[in-house]
Amino acid sequence: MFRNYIKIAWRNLWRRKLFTTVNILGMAVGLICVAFLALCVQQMLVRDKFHKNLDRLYLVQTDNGQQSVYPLLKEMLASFPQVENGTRILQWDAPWFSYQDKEVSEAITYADAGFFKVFTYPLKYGNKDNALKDKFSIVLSSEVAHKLFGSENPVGKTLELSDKRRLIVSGVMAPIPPNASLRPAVLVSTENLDAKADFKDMGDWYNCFTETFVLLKPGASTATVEKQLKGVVATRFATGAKDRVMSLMGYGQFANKYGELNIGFYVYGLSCIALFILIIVAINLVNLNMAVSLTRIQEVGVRKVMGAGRKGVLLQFFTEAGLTVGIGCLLAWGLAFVLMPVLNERLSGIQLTSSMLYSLPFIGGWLLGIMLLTLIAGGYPALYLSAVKLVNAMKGKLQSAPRKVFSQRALIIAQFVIAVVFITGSLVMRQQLRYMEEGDVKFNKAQVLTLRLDLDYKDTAQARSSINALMDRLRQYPQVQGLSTSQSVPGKYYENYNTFVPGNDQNKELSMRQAYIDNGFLTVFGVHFLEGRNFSPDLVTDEKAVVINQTAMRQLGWTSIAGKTLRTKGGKEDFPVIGLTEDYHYRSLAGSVQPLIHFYGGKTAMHDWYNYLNIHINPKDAAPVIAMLRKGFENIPSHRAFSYSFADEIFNEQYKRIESLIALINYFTLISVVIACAGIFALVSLAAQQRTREIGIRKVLGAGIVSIVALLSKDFIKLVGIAVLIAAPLAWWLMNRWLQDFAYSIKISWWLLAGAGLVTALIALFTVGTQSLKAALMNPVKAIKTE
Amino acid sequence: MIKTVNLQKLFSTEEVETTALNGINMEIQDGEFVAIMGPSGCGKSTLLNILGLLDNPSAGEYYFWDKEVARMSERQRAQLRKGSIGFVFQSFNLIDELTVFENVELPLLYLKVPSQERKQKVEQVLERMNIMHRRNHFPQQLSGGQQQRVAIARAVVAKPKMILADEPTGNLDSTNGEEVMKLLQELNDAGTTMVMVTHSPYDAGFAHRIINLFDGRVVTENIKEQFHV
Repeated sequence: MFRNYIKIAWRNLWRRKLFTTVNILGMAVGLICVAFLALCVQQMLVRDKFHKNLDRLYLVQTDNGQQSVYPLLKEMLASFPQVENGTRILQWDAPWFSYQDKEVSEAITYADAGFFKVFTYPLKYGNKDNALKDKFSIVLSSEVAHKLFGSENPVGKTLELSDKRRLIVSGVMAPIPPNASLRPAVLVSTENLDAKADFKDMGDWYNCFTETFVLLKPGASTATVEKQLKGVVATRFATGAKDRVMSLMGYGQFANKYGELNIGFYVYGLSCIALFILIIVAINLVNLNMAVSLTRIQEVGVRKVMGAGRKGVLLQFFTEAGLTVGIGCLLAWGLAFVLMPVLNERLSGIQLTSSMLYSLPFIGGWLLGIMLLTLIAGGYPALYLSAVKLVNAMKGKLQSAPRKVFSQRALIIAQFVIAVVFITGSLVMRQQLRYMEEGDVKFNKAQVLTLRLDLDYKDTAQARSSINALMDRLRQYPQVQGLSTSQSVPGKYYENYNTFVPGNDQNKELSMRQAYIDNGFLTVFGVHFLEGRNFSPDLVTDEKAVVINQTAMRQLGWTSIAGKTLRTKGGKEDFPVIGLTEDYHYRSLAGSVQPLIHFYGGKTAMHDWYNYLNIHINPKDAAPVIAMLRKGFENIPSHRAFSYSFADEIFNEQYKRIESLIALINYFTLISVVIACAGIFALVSLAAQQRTREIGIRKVLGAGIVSIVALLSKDFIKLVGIAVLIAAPLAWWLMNRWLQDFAYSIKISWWLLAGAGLVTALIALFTVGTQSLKAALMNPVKAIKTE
Repeated sequence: MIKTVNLQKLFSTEEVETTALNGINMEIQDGEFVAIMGPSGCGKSTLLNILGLLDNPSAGEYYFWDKEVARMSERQRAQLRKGSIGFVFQSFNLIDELTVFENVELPLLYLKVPSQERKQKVEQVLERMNIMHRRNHFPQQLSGGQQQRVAIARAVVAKPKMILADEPTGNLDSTNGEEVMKLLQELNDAGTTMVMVTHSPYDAGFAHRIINLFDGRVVTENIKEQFHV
């Protein structure tokens, strides 16, 4: 019997090829999304869970979120009885590593000997007990080891660094699980860092730039440890830092706070999207299966006359639904393998692997999904049809007309509400992005050519003189209107903050972002001065002067900078404020302008602390200048290649995240529209089929093609209209909430909502119209004969 | 075999109540061939549905093999129907997605007949109906006459005691119609009770007895030849 069900199910699917294709493809597309979203959510939920001691692993943070001071760990290990072990983690430099003729550049993660005791990163080669004990040992990630040594065991081999240090490979980590937040490429002992000349004085009791992780003893109380930390602040911390508060944060929270992902938000958001798509898929399945089943009512009748019981009919419909769902799921599963690399390219902070697709929990979930969808998809038609009266079934009569089924209408409306919300979301985001990209940033974004100066030169001194010579040549070009060298450029300011107090009022304090610039920077970037003047290379006193922005002045409570000085909190030296600039947007328009302080880093020239060379030039005239520079830089031996961009390109890079969000939303928009349209497409074709006779009679009585198309389309378009009415306020509310995160945002105009509705309605009209037209063009004689 | 006492059937919608059968008293003997005739809307098909246990009467009694079945549930009726009544419809009612063989096999599947025996029985009946060569075709690949032969094959494959035929030649030309009627007569000759609804006096001529209905009542009964049990 079961074979018979499968056979007839298969033949039914085959007979309605178009319908089946639409149904299965729509489902597969939706399910791929659900699968990927589920995997992402699952990866987030198991974030860092592989660490064996996760429940005892803590991060020490200062003032609720800042990193900690460098010497803290040693103090804790020495005098905190409840601390079992610990490690610091910080990145200081990114030299080139070479082994024979192979070279790689990686940021070094400095860590303590306890690293492998605190965290669970197994070693492929080497011994975790002494991997970081030696000052000259280095542990490589499997990727870096592969790049330098291929598949051989590198333990004991010596690596040479571009700064002349020589380190011996003491271990190679096994591939780091995709759900790890910390993914060091190379690990070197902090002892090595301690010996570095440019670091020596940094590790004081004031600067907070180290991640300190501690492993508490089993049963240890965090409250006790935090109490002890208070004591450390009191006894050890530098003057000016005595009011700091240190606390412990469970490592489980680490990814949430410091990683690229806000786990809670994403888990919630992605689960919601997955659920949305699953609902759309389920709605379609129910609608489509119901619609097809209704055309088979007579068959149900015949089967019952031949002896089939209600159970038999139920089983038959479940088998058919199961077959459809099974094929859809299998297709989605197969496509997921193909699409995974594409998806991984677009994901940041999370990595999916093919093996996840055949992991037991995934397969289990997938099978459960198949069963659930089968129950949903088959259940409604099965229950409905198996209960139809036999005599009516034999005549092909239904108790109620299918197009009047309330639930079906509600389901279509729900699908289109989701589609309209996605379309609106996509439009609003795009508009906001354009607004930010084209907004007035109050600096010269269009006419500044920026070159990177930090190219890891093989001979720094020689590079410096060559670049200074190149700059002299640049000044000869009439199209070059100005030159500048700087530590940062707008859009790429470092997260470098310090707390300042006015020289004459030590009670006020203000945290400001600080950066070094030359005397040309503010001129090249066309930043307006509201008061005072720019740095001058001719005044020796300017070496200690600063320029601040308007927000800084306002937040300091000043109305003028005349005669004002600033000093770092706890410092003794006063920096005269010589200039006040307009609030130009040195970072994206997503946030408001924050207090900014510029120090003078010396006149326009190549210095180690200057990373950029900025040239004021019209892009139209830039070609010969770029050609000259390229040639010049190619003659300077370096590890990195010559590269340049215009200031607007660099600035707009900040919007990459929102751009990828838009791309993601666009995918979901497309998917939701495709699935929703697939649904009404199939439904209208079935409605046309069911109403063949009515259409025939109407045509015989004189109905034209337009009126028949209208007859069939009207009901669906009405539903789409209702969906638009529901979706518009919902989308407006949702997108306004999203826009609240931006300091400068667009106002959602009515035409944008109307546009989204219109686009949806047009797509729906086209979908429904083509099928209705087909029905309307049918020969009426044939239609009437149907009965 | 069959006896009805004052059988009634009412169809009611929100506004109208229609009496389809109004006190039908009749008896059909085992092995008899009875034709039910009458104008459109007189209640022929309704009567046939009740006789075939597809529907329940609104009032009256219906004895099927001396058992009162008028108040049975759908489930009980289905159980009783299975294997003891075969149906032949005017519009054949074959399942389009199943081949000739599979269509005929269907009642045996529901009777849980073992596969080998099923195959044998289906082939036998297809042979008898002279459509064995079409066993792997789908209904829509056959002519009307062939489709009705398949429908008859399906009706008799489980060897029911009674066949109910609702205008079996209504959709056929005269040659095919004649052929179908001869098949039904053969089945009746072999002992199957036959109850047939028809408009055609010619078809009715094959029956032993003709019951004429009008407005839901039996108006005349013509006995063409005395039937002896």
